[in-house]
Amino acid sequence: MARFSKQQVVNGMKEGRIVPLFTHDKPVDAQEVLEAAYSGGIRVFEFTNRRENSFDVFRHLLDVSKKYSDLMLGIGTILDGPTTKKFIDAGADFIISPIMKIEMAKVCRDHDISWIPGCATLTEIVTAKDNGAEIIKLFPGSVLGPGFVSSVMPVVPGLQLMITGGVEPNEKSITLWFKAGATCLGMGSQLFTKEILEQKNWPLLRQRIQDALKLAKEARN
Amino acid sequence: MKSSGMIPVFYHADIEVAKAVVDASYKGGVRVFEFTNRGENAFQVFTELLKHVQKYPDLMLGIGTIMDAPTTQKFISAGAHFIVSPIMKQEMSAACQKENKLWIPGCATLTEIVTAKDLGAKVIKIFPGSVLGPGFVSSIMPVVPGLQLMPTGGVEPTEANLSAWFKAGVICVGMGSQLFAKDIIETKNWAKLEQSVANALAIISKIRTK
Repeated sequence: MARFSKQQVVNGMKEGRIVPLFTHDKPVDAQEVLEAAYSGGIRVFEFTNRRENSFDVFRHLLDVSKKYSDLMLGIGTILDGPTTKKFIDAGADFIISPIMKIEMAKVCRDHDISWIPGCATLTEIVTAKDNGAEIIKLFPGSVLGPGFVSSVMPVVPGLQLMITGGVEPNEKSITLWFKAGATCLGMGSQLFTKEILEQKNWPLLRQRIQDALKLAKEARN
Repeated sequence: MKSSGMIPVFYHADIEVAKAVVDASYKGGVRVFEFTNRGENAFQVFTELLKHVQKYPDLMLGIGTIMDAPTTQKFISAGAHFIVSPIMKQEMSAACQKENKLWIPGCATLTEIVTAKDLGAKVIKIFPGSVLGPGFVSSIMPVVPGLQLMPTGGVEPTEANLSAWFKAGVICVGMGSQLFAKDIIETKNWAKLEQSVANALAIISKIRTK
């Protein structure tokens, strides 16, 4: 069972401004990253289902997350209904997908869980909205660009977009996306660099997250 | 498609020009060729072309710019080796599956790509390639394992452009107007065409061995 309501997840993403996305096949390292992110100020975290053992690692992280009463942990890179169900049953607080697949919307609705589908055209975005998506992921962000967001925002009122793919943890990139109208930013490899992971430099990771959150806060104010 | 790395995409209303272009492409090393259904007599030219290429037992000739199932069926019955489309239309998948022919739909978002994959597409065309760019391919490849993508539209026969696409993870590229320059076709300079096809293929094989 998810520990947080849909509304809590939506608010958490809006207030948090940055949702890290991360995968690792070693439970211990994944735990270190999750805890470093939390201590850096992250309260909504996306683990991604990109490895063979991602389900097991995710369950481990769910256990870890129970230590933190205000940490929401969801799963990303989900591509179909059955996998959605499996992760919801395990306790995922929200479901993120790189695609917009209606069967996933239904599973999430049945379980009252946030469905955050990945869209790349306004048609996909509005279809997702009509199927109950409150926050919609824009993917790949680097291909569509902030200009895409500023073009669609006036056309469909009330859109809440999360940008993923190529968002960089620097002032320029963060400011551009928020100015265009993004609700929050997903950040993966740009935040969790290979170097940091190889050196297991968790203090540096925590620092990078703090810096990125500070920039996001300034950009939105 | 995988081994050749490049599929020429071509249309001409004149069967003699079409034959000469296929011949020159074959001589230049092409083994998979896409003729496109973009003119009123495209079907007629294509059937003639199929007869013509019987002398090349290792040349696969498919048809592109197909938009619906009836047209898919018509070209498969005529002998098309594969079907390419600029769009992702489910009814075309069923028509190809029934005849056991490769369906290569054109997609522009990851949602379309995964839908096509779920409908049985083994190779998916990324269109328009120049709008989406190699960055689109490199963004989606880690997310959905096993994708086999072919960008078409604005792919250039230069080392810089081709290497950007192949580094991003495509299995082959489709090349039309960039390869078949107007002046080459107008002056019927088939020797030059053969040369530019061979050059493009050489660049691709060099990039791939790196």
